[in-house]
Amino acid sequence: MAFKILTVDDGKVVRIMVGRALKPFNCEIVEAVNGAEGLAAAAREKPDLILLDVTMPIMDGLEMLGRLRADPNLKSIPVIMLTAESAQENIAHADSLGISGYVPKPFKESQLVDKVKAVLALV
Amino acid sequence: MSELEDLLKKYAVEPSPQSVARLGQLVMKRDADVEEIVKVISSDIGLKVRLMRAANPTDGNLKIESVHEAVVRAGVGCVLVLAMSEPLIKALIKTFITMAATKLDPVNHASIGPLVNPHFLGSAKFWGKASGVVYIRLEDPLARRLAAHILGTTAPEEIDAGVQDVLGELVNMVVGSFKSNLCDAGLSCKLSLPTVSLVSDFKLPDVSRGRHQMFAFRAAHDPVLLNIIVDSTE
Repeated sequence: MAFKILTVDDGKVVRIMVGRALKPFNCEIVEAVNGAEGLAAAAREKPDLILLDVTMPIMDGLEMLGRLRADPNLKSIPVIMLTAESAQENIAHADSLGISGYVPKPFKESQLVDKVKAVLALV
Repeated sequence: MSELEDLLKKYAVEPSPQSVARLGQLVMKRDADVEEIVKVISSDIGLKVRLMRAANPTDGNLKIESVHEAVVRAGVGCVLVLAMSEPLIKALIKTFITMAATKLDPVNHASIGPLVNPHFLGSAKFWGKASGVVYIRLEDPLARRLAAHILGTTAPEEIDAGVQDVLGELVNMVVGSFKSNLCDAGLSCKLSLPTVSLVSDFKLPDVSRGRHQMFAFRAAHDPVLLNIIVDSTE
């Protein structure tokens, strides 16, 4: 069974890296470039997992996470934060909303794959 | 263990350097206690060495030997910039090695000199309780090697198309990590989107109202220059 993973990141390079890292593991990758697009993609695609950046234009990742958790149809989708924003305040905020992991950038692709595998095994 | 420590452990996130947090808090006070600042610096060898270098004349004749004297001479603002430089340098080195398997070795910037050929300039501004700008400069061969590694390609046209995006992402990671450390130190601030351009005659903006530090590195033979300018806090 293929897992569908939504990557929400305004950085094209990160989206390329995520795709390259996860495609060998039978994952279908869907992309969005900000929180607003991410919410729409989550509703449309019903991904098994969301990889979410924090700092993005239009709607940031923490706002998207809050809205996701408030939506009865989307609230149970696991989210791993993938972000250079590793301030304790942001981690605490994301944690309070409910996340399955926090991968600070810079990151190794193997580190991301390990986190994703661990989360998807629980889905 | 505190709640915060539990949280960082839960997500395997490294805590921010203590010296930045402690100095940030001290410098934020209008009546910063010099003795307290001296105590923090004295407990951080790297910071102490950088302060002594900054406070002493460049002719090589060491005249200031105590941390107290160095703090008074260099000023509290300079001390804060030096403290802030530590997480910035760490973020730069970590980003290059993690993302592109490229080791950066710190060198004396006098051994590199100015970059005279057209080179890439990545920058991002930060503003809030701490305000300033970070510049990262490197030449084309290194930029192309980084892009090739990160994009996983050797095709010249793909590297040409992606090199600015790659540098932008690297700058984003370096300054994002740096900004997080500042926020953890109580110096909450916002970041601009990083910009990357090709320049041939980079000149620092006027730093007369701020503090500037420059750091140099080599990735094998290729130079990398890092500048941080912090608006005056004094």
